[in-house]
Amino acid sequence: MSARRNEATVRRLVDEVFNLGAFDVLDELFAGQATFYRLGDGRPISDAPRRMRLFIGAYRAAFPDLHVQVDELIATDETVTVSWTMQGTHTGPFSHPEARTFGLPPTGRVARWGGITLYHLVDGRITSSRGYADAVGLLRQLGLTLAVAPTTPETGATS
Amino acid sequence: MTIPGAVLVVDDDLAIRELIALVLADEGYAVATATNGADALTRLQQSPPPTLVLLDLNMPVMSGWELQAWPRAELPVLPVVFMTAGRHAQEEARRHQAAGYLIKPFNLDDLLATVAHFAA
Repeated sequence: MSARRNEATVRRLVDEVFNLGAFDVLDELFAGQATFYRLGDGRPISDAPRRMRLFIGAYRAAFPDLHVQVDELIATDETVTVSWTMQGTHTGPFSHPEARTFGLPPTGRVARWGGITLYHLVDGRITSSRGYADAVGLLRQLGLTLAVAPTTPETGATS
Repeated sequence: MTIPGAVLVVDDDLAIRELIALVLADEGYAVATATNGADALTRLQQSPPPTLVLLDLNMPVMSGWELQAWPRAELPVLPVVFMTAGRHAQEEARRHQAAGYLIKPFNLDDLLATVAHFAA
């Protein structure tokens, strides 16, 4: 029973928040002090609902036709694991810490990238979220690369 | 009085403004945001000055170009770093005596290194 309830919560997150931008639902789906594990260093941060709002909002601003497809979902009484694919047309400026990129102007390109997210839930509400996304694949499709060796950054001080 | 490690992020793009604020707050900086030059000017005039201003240049209401003269005249020790997609960022930053520049799109490591250089 809990597994079904947990699955329903995560499917609402995908269908209503990611795909429709109904951000008010986040407070319903997440427990108040839910933890968000940062991509990369895995640092736990206790503001998952706010962070999800910003992160999903950033994707939807850059890809207004964003669609998340659930490829596979495994639900238990305590966890839900989702393998997903996102797709969208890059028509707005793109900034996202998970892609380590800020201020990429629209390219008009269609991008498709995947990932896996593990949610923990209590009483049908998400208490933690830990995700891994193919940020390199996304950037490559948008014409960027992540440097694998030191480069001369396009930044600097004037003195 | 200057607040150590305080950064004012000025950009009309909600995503870049709020996400930069988020990652800098994660690193322990005190962060304030402004949506355009006029909003930033009000903050600079009414609040204790930050340690660093990250300034977008092309914004409605009051652009970064219009704003940047004020801190240069009134708060000459306050470093201002331009965030711009312009091709001539370095020359523009020099000409306007900005402390530095970040060329859009920039990556997270460059952002953190730049902020650390001026505000850590």
